[in-house]
Amino acid sequence: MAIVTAHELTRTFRTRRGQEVTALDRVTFSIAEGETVGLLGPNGAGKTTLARILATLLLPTRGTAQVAGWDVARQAKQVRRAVGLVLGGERGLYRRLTARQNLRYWAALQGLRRKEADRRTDEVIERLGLVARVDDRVETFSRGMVQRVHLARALVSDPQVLIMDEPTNGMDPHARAGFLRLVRELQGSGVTILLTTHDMLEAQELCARVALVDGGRIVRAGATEELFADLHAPRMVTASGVPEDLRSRLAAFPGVSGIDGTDGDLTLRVVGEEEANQVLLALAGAGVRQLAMAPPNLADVYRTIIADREFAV
Amino acid sequence: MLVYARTHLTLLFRDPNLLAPLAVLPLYCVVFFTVLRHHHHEELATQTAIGAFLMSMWAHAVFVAAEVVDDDRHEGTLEPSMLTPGAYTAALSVRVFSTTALAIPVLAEALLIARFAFGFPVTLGSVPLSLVTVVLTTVGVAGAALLVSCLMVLVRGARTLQNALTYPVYLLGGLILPASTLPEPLRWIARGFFLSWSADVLRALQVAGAPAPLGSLGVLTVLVAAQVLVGFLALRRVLTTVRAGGVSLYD
Ligand SMILES: Nc1ncnc2c1ncn2[C@@H]1O[C@H](COP(=O)(O)OP(=O)(O)O)[C@@H](O)[C@H]1O
Ligand SMILES: [Mg+2]
Repeated sequence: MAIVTAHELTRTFRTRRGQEVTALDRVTFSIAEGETVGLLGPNGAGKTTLARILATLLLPTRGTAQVAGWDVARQAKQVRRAVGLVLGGERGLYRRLTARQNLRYWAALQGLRRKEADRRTDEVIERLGLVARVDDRVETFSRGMVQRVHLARALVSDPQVLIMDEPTNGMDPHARAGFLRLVRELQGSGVTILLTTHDMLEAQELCARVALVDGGRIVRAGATEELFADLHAPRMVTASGVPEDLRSRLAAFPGVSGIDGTDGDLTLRVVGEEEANQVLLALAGAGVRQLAMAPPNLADVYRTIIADREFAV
Repeated sequence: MLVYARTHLTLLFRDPNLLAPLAVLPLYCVVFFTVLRHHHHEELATQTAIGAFLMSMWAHAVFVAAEVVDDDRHEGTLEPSMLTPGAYTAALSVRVFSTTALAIPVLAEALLIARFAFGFPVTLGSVPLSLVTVVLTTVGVAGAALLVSCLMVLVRGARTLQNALTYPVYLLGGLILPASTLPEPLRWIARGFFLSWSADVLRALQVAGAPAPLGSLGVLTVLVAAQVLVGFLALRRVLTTVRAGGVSLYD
């Protein structure tokens, strides 16, 4: 059962100079209940615009979208009850207030009564590991802690669908890993998640399905694994103790490129299932025992689809 | 409702800058009262204190209370707040009112300065009716602040706007001279503005032995209700245009 659907969703903006910008261009997709879908794209791709339309913060110019069966344009009230929004970045909380004061205030905005608000607040504080710092002011928090409070706020109303817009933006790797762990715990609880990111690894780690967006369009979508198979993005093979002659022969194998390494160490990229098997067979046949193959990462997928952009991996 | 007020007052007290308009009142009073003494008009002390009080409340409302939405935009809290627009509009109203209400003690402060720092005779008429008038005025000023807060969101460079909304308003509100002494077209405008009625009623209430100005109090009530309604509806309207993309959610 799809819990989020979008049909031909389009949003245009008029800039101050009067030019029309199409931020979102006939986007169609759906998310099944309990699923985590990644919306992956570079800056300016239209991710935030889509997140805001689904969260009812912005009206679509054309097209329709439903969340939990409600129309985002005409039944915003019901949609808002079903949705929790997590924004990335330093801002979005009252920095002079403590985490608990922030959460109580949001619980009140959500229409929770005093008792219920306190109970839910305590619950999310516990769940997100905020207990020790909950009565400290948010302005003293690290970026990672701030993001936990963002997540806690979104969870206070116990939403069916979580929309996270680049939640790990600006986090250091350690904080990011901690945050991703929290999200994985949430996934176990059955909540549906739409995650926007420009970070391939993040999408790869969390999302069973990914939609690649660019210029307001979904340029490709599918199960993360299928995307790779379908796209012939290269896999990375690494091995040690490779005889010199095999090394030069491998260069001539179909689908192989980017051979690198010295002193028997080897890395190469290979495109295609059968081609990869041939490489592995050859290596194993030559007695190579230290051997690994990594699945294609989204950076490679991206390069394959959108050739003319630069990505920092 | 209570949690909105509590949250907001915590925010205010943790940024003492925001209380500056209230802190400068004693200075105003000293200046005004020194002038009174110089001209031997001690009997005007109560009336002057009322004027200073209303000016402080108004300035506090325009410079602090009216900034709630803009502050939220600056903090980045406006965007998530828009997920509950109804509750948020209510929260903003409570927050603006509780900020404005912080100016109420200023009246006592001004009277005490007159009485004890300057030794002026301070006469109080009907205390209950005065309190009613003060509360009504607070509601009206908060309503005006809601309206100003809309402008702050829509117009860039709102500082100029805030400044423009001080002295002309003091004049039209009968805070500098009683509204009845204003020339013709200004007087009409002043008469449509609740603040001039607040000033008149508050001053009339302190005149010993005079009948209670109940008619004026009625007019004040109606004008205050209208002011609050206009402020609230304008805010709701502005927050709706946010969704159509007409207003930026960020700085
Ligand atoms: N309020 C707005 N006014 C004008 N242009 C906008 C507005 N919001 C977004 N855009 C434009 O729409 C495009 C998509 O923006 P956005 O959805 O923020 O992308 P992303 O989140 O993927 O970085 C960008 O070109 C951006 O400049
Ligand atoms: Mg974005």
